[in-house]
Amino acid sequence: MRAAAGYRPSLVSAAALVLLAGYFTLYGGPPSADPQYSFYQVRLPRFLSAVLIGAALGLAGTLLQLATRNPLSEPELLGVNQSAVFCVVLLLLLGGGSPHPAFMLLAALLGGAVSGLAILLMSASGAFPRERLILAGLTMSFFFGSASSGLLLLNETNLFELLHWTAGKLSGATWLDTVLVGGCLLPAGVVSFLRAGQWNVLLLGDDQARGLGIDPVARRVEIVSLAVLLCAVCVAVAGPIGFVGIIVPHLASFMAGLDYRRRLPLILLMGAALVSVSDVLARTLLHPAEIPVGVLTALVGAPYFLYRAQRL
Amino acid sequence: MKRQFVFRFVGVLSLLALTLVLSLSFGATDALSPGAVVDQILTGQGVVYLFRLPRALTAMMVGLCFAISGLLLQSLTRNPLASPDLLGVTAGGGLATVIAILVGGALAGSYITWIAFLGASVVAAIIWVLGRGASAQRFILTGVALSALAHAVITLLLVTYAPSAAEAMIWLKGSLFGRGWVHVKLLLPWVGFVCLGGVAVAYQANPLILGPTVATTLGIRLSVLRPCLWLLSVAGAAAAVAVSGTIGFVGLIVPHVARRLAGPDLRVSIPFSGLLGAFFVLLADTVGRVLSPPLEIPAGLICAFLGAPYFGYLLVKGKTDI
Amino acid sequence: MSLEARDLWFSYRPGVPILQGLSVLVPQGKITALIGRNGCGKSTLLKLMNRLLEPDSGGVFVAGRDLRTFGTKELAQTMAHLTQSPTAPAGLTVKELVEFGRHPYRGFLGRATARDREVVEWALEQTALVELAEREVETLSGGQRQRAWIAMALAQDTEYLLLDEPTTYLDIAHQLEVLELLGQLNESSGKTIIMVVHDPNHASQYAHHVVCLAEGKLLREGTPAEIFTNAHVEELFGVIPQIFPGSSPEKPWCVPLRTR
Repeated sequence: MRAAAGYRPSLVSAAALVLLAGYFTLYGGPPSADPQYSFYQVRLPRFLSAVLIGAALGLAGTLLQLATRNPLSEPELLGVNQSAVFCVVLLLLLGGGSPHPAFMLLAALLGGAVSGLAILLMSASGAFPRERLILAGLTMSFFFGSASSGLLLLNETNLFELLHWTAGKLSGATWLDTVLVGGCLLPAGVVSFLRAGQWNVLLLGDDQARGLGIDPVARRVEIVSLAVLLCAVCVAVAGPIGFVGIIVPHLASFMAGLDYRRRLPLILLMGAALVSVSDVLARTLLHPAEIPVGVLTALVGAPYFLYRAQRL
Repeated sequence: MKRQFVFRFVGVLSLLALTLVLSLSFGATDALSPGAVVDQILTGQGVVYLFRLPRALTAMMVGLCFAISGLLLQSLTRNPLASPDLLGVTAGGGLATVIAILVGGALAGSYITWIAFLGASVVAAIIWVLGRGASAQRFILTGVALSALAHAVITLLLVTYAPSAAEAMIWLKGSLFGRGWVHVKLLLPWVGFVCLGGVAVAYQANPLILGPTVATTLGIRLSVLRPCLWLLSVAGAAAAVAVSGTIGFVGLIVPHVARRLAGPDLRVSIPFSGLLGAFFVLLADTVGRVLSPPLEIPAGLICAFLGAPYFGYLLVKGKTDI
Repeated sequence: MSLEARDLWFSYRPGVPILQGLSVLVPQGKITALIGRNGCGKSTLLKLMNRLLEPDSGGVFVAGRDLRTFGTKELAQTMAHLTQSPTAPAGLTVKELVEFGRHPYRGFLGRATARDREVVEWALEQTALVELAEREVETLSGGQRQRAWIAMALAQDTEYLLLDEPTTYLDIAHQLEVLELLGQLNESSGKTIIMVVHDPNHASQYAHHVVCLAEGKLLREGTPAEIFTNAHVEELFGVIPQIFPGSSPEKPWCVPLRTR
């Protein structure tokens, strides 16, 4: 195990960042007409959603990296986000107007499951070496992305609203959204913590895992299902936010080593910090216009991905 | 060319001709008889001449450019998954174009293709510098990261400058809606460049499939050949994206099909690729127009719908060894 | 034409020299074997001789002329190089592979001349691949594949043939197939062949001249009989051998018994 460089300091700094973001979200910005309402019905749920979504995305990325044994796996890059978006856009087009978040979640789940299935098929032992997996995932991302864009083009009235959403936005998050995300994150987090021991074995390869009594296929199905659930709920609430899933697990492993259980709290906190800080920046940088959060995470994440790719 | 190739070439050419006829005859307005079509072309009047013909020509040229660009990239990188979209070259061109539109307005500006070429070249140069000498995988992943970055910036611009971004957005997503003679004129020199350049480098680039070391021992000057291939590929992709936005998969899939039909010799597969690309995009555009008028399904969407499953099939069947 | 390396210095990374002032003269019209331990610089020397790598200092000279003055095409017409485990892409036939060997002679647009066809035919005959000409390279056995690559090198019609470990991944029969072919080629067309080999007996049985490298320097060179003595083998490879006389005294057999 690599030496865990500064585990506690990073936990503390991540938590500090979250609190800082919380302060700005809750107390910063122009005062509103109804401060009570604004605080409890707009700002607090928004902040909590950001925190929970960040944690969920960080966890989802970690899970996918574990399942595919590929350090570059990420919900956005493997097409999970995009297929979920596609289904939601389809729902919006067919259903018209704003459907209930529960329906959006169902649609996102369905869409995400398609990608999840493809990922499972592709991560079967030896079938897809790591780069090919990424490229296959990219193709799916591409496919569903193009499909979504095409569908959006056919629905010009809501074009910009939808366009903004498809890049990830947290405005308009309600308590229901927060509960949905939290409701998925909590069990996912608990399950992953409990199963971590078994899942770690997957890192050794399918044959080795079988030799140690673990069924790699079943475990992978578990992991990918959890990842898809987390991504789907995030997409349903805030649209696709990419790159969180690749930055956070790596930074966390840098600080905490490869042991999944040790990394977990750090991943959750760092993810929360990344998204909540990005949300604050998204609101303030080009005030009063709002930058989609996904754009900010991409602007930070893509260069990081670039850097990681150089070290391959 | 060997006899089988000639047959296949003629076959694809016929398909293209057929699609062209269909494209000119059918559309959102009345369906025309072939006689009326010819009449309108010759007299320079009517919906065929004013709208359908230039649009069809643009579609074919865009398809040709993307397809040849993809084939050259795949030969250059020895990676069957390379394509101008994946590597961010088209995204770079798209970004430059979006900036140009937002700053300068009107898509019909005659500098648009050059601006796109500039943007695409910048991305290509970055990929080249960062990815050079690296494994093919790293090369691709570098391109992926740059593509993501460029797309993020594009989205940022579109969302921030919402009102004037309408045009940019609709254009960007890959459609041939409203493309006319002005676009044909824009593309023509680039198409000429790519075709002539392609023919010129085809034989010289053939040994690349044996790998850079063997190619060098056969007397190939990689330091000259590679930049040429890059240049041609970027030029093709940039010109196409400036005119039609990102029509994905053409640069990725068509070269594969072309290689299966034409064999590994670039002197044969480059013309094949161009022809197939023209056919594919024209078909997609035609289908998109006639499926349920007056609604127009963007060509990019249809290409994605047709292309991705086929590509998935290629991947699964292992016909895309890296 | 003589092929000579003069005082070659080369390092892949600064401060880690692979070749240190190596000078060696390759006898014309003969088969020369380069032997030595892993990492002694054999493949590097071969690549430097073909200008696949540029030396830090020193130079390679063909008939007294610096290699650096050769144009790329001219060089390709003078030397053919067979790399370690080359791979042919799927779908390429033997004939198509061999035709690549004519690349340095064909014009810009690649028109094939009668001479090109002649040479390709000859190369296929020499390597006994005429019947397999339309088969795809990847469907052939290891030895046949290696012969196909040698045929491509032959089609290049060069004075020198440089082979980097031509037998390493082949089974015994295929190894001998390739070595016997090289011997025949040398005898019939007088090509100068330089090959990097691991098995000392490949050197002793099939080469006229043996060059021993150790730590980037020339340890010694000479005929197989001169090189393969107990003391020399022990010094070069670090193993205690048993030397047996072969069918002729110039070609002793060397059997490694144990490490030192």
